[in-house]
Amino acid sequence: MIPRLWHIMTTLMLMLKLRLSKSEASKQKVEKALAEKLAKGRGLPMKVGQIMAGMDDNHALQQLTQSVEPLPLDQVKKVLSQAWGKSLSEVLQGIDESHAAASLGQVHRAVLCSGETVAIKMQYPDIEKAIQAELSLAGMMPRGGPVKRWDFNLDAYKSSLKINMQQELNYLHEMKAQQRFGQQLDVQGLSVPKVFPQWCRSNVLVQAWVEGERLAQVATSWSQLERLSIGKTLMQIMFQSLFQHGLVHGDPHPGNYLYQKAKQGALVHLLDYGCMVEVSKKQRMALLQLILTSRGEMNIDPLEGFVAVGFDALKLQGIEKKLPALMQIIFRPFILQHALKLQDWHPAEEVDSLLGQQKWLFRAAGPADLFLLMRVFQGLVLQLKTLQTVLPWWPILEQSLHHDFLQEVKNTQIVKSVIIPQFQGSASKLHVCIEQPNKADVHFELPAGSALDLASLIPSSAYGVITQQNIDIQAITEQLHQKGLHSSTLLDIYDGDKRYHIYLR
Amino acid sequence: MFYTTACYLYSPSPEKTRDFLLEVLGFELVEENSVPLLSNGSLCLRLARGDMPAVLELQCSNLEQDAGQLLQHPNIEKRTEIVHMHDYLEQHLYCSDIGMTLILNQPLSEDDRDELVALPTTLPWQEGLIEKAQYILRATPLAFREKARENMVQQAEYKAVEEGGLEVLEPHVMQAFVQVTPPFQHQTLYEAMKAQGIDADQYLDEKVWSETP
Repeated sequence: MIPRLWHIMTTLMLMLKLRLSKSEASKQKVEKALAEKLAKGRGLPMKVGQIMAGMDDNHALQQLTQSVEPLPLDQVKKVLSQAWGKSLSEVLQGIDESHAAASLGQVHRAVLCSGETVAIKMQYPDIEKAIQAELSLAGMMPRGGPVKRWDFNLDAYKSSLKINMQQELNYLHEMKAQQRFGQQLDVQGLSVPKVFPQWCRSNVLVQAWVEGERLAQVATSWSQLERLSIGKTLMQIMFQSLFQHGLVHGDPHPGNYLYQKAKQGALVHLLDYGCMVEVSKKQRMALLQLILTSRGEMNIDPLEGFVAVGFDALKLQGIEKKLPALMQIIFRPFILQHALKLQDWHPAEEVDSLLGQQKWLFRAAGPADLFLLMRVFQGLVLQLKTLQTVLPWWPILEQSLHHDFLQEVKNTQIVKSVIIPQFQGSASKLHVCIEQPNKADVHFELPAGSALDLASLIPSSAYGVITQQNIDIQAITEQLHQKGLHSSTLLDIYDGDKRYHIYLR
Repeated sequence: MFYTTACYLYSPSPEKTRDFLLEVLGFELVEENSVPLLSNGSLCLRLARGDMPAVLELQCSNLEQDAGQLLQHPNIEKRTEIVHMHDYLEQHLYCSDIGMTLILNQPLSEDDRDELVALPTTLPWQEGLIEKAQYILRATPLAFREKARENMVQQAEYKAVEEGGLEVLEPHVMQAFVQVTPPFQHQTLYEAMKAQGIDADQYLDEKVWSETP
């Protein structure tokens, strides 16, 4: 176990280095080293690599989505026989060497005694224990920087990661999700491989064998109409699964998609249902209402809409006035009455320009599982960009939903008046300023209520001087609770030439 | 950051050049000194004495007519005939008393070039439809044509997808034309559609403008 822990620690160091890389050359160097390191470790490290590849068009990391060194066939046969409680010859006519090895298991092409050609996904022995140990490392996630300053609910993120990994480790859960997804979705061009429940176990998944080409091949050698057809199918899968059914395929890395030419357009074989994102009816209806409001077809209060999606009202309050502009940025492909060239859409930069440092407030306000949904959206955008397809989103969204459902969304009052906790006092904003010679001043504003958790807002660089000067942060907070949030200075200290000034106005 | 404010124009007789620029080419005197500064709003020239051949490039909207006017000046003569380049016309004149060459050019519009400009499509279009649309677009005044082209293509492709397809068909394009064309131009649009063999009555009602006084 110690080598695995060491492997994870060094991987985390490389990820930090990647984040801090300033030049393109050093970034590429670190990416290559990181890809090699992630590929060596099955389980969580490789999963992290696949997540990164799914979110970014990154060649070094995308190698991870293809393969790692598989386990020998003899070992695989033993595991299968044990799982089925039968000799292999009672179930299979034959089985090939591994076709692909991934983060949690590897895939073999086989023929059942009944004659069907199947793909058998077998979980690596002991991977569950390794993952559990690795998940405990999540407790070592850094709490500094924006995570602390903007009060991210790290426990919710950890819990979301844990639940997700546990579900991915149970292939029976995956089998049910695959069946449910296939039964629910009605999208032309979507193929969900049939599963064989009688041969599925918690560590073995048996499904129909499918073949097809990868996205890179499709993008370079398929006709415009075929690429468009693929693009439309991918959009419909996303929109219908998210808005209509609330069960989204949460692992958009390229290895999970195979494309096949068909008489009518093209087929998308969607694989790997281990990581699914569930979205409640209230959340998806609220999300649709926010989009309809951005389009001018409804008129709900943006703050109330986001709160119904699961955002924290208190944190959002600090950027309430900017929410309509923010919606115009993040929902733009749904708003425009024409197709948006995704190459020209840079939501991250625009949000940065609109909110500045307050972007962290928006992110911290969001529910933890929103991260997974964002990743799915980013995956879709990346796929559409790679396919070079330019399609209008709104009509495809409308076609993906049952007409009745869209009407229900338009006619239902989902959002409720949000009661934001009020505290006695007149201050509306908490100001945090750091002034230092020869450097730009840091100044950000938060809702006044944030002062009640002052300890989490203190920059770590100020700890030393606070201790030296015997300042009791807890006492300041208690006083605020007792006397209310009035305009006042909470902290005004110097560390040499550096000034930390925190005040309410 | 620097801003270029003026360039020097050398002439063996700066006084005569000054008069020519003021009286014939519509320049104004900005600063009177030993090196006078003249401007026509877009170009600033300082006039200095020198033997280097002076060359001025002038843009005009009707080369034949504008060159004709200049040639009436007693000291101006033709150096070349009008030459047809890919996207502009050019003629060289010479002003003998001040030793200055005038290069006149006239940019050519897509109509002058008799060119059908490519449509910014992102979906496949029914065979022959792009060319028809390009001809119909010619009915739009040049000043608005580029925007009309972009809007029409976006609307037509949106309609195609809205109807569940991925190929743009004639009705999508014609409806898009009607949508992006102001009503007072509908008669022109109707005629342009007819000229392309399209049953324009499907998309526009002739009665609307024929009954309008």
